[in-house]
Amino acid sequence: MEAGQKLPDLVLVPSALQLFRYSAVTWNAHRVHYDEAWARHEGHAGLLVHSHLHAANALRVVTDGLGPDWRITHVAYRIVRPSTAGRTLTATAEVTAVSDDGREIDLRLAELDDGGMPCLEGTARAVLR
Amino acid sequence: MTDDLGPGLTGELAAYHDAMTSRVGEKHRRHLGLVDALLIRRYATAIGEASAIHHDRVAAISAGYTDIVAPPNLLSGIMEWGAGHPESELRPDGTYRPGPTSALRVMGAGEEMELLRPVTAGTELWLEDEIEEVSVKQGRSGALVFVTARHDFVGADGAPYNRNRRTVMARL
Repeated sequence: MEAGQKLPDLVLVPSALQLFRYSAVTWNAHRVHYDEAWARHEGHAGLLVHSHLHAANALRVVTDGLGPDWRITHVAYRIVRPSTAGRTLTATAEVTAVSDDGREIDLRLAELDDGGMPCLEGTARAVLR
Repeated sequence: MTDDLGPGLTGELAAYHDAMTSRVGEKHRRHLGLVDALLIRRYATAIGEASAIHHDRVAAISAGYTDIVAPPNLLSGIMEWGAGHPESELRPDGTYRPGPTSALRVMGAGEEMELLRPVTAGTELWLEDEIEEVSVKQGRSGALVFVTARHDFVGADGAPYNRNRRTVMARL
């Protein structure tokens, strides 16, 4: 690994079904995620993607890109823009620093919507197990 | 108190701010229960994660884990670890928030996570939490209240698995 290296992007389109299942498995009854009429009533453009699902997407770029020999130890992110079911999201990760022994790397995370605007910005650290 | 907090912080948003502020520094500890294989598999499936270490015990053990392992943000992603509240106690938006906050909209704004050791099937957890900070910012559509809380997920041996600091944003 070296600074500047990009991991393969993850392109996905959260569906209403996925948001429902994420709500179900996390026991999250907030209607903005599965009741479109309610979400629009609250002023959203559609079913709202969970903040933790945005984070899971960004972290999948790291876990899928690095493989099971690496383990994520630190994550920091903020949600800067909401997104809704049916919109294409692109999650990215780029190595920003590598330790001298090559066993620890820092990454910059992002998740962009289909307009190229960021939904999530963050950082992560991963170590060789 | 509300008058000192700037324009736009009125009504239920002010009440929410005051309620959260009154709880800053309170520490709570509760038993969450077991993270079992089914929860890990369902969470992995819900986020589209097909890696065998989240689904197949043999593959996870081959990779050096004691059992299938949770994706990194499973613990923080779970909204309710117990049975939850009866529907009659939920607000119209489906959330449970004690106090006069029926018109309030609350959503996740960000998080910091320290992932100290892998969470594998069979892990028993306790949650230690504390509201650390409440702040007010002016957004384009009015006042926003940010609440930052620490969530430590601790094992039976007293050592933490995750140390998380989560921020939610509330607005009218």
